[in-house]
Amino acid sequence: MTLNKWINPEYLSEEKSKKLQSTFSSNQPFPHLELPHFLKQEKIISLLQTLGDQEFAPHHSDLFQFAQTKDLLYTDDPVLKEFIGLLSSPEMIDLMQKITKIKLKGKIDLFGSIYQDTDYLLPHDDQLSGRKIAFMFYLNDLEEKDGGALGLYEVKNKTPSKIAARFIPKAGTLIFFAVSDLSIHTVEEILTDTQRITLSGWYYG
Amino acid sequence: MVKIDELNPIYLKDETKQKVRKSFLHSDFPAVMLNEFFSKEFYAELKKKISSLNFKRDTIVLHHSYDRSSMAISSAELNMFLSFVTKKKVEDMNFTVIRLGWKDYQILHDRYLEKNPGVDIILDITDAWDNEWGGMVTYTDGRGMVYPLAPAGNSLAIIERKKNLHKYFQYANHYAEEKKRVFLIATI
Repeated sequence: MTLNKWINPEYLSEEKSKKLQSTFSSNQPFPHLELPHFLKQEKIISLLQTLGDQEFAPHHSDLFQFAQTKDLLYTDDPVLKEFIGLLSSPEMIDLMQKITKIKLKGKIDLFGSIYQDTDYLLPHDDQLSGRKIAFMFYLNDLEEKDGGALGLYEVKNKTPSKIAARFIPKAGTLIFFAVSDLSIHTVEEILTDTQRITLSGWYYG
Repeated sequence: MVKIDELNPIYLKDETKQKVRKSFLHSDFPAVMLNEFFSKEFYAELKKKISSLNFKRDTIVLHHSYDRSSMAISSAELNMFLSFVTKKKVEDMNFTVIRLGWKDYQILHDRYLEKNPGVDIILDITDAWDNEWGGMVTYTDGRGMVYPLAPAGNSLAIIERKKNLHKYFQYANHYAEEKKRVFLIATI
């Protein structure tokens, strides 16, 4: 798999990896990275088109309300298969390991999600057996007025207190963070008719 | 302390009480919801007292976010009614008063789950609330059974919270704007 077919080449140099490694580990409130324009524009369009053919089922519980695809690892769609091939390729795993210094096995999960008006994801830490890195690719732009920002909580004395970092989705951006008991995060409620479309999942270790 | 002797007379009739008890004890989901529970006059008085309570903001990010207060209710009629329906000894109760607004919620979280089963008594004093705004008190067994209680002013809900049955407060969304959803909860 050639990473530069999908990924903005500026992220693929050795020098850049080292910088990202430093930024990832020092970012507060817990290790994370936001990589704007990570995906190439034509790939964003391609993913959006192919997600249009996927079935999104409404999901709701005490913790969340949004629509989601089934686990896309079992998809027959050629674009999504190629994208999964990219994410689980030795080159991509190597890149993620270099940046995060977290040992990964190569196993991933991937879901498409659509949040629309009043949808949300309340604070939680994502911890589940084997999950090491949570990642999300934003496929469209939102503005502050639309809601839908990702919020990362500051944790003091094992208690999350306030949102210390906030990210408004922009098409092509990749965000990922280390999953731990510190990784309390939320997706703020969508406030308008603008949808929030993402591909997200976890790297396992 | 609120003194109550103002149940809707229909709920004092033996026939009604028998029906409510049968419904509570023998339904698949052991719960009943009784509308127009108090007399109109008393309900208005109760709402007035609640509106004068001091509410404290209560947030534990991983579990809940809402305004909270408390109110003791002393009512021989209410106690007798609940004793009859639930077959439990009921004495004067100290209710937690919950006030939900936009962005408020209560999540199920292992650390904060109610350990002991009991019978939840919920007095709802929310008169103008659209279900589409969220904020519903919802019971679930974690295996797919979900039982949301639709908001209804002057209603009394009695729910037997068996082992593995837990409640959460659905997130209240932005359509609630400045409106508040208020209810009182006690466990017997």
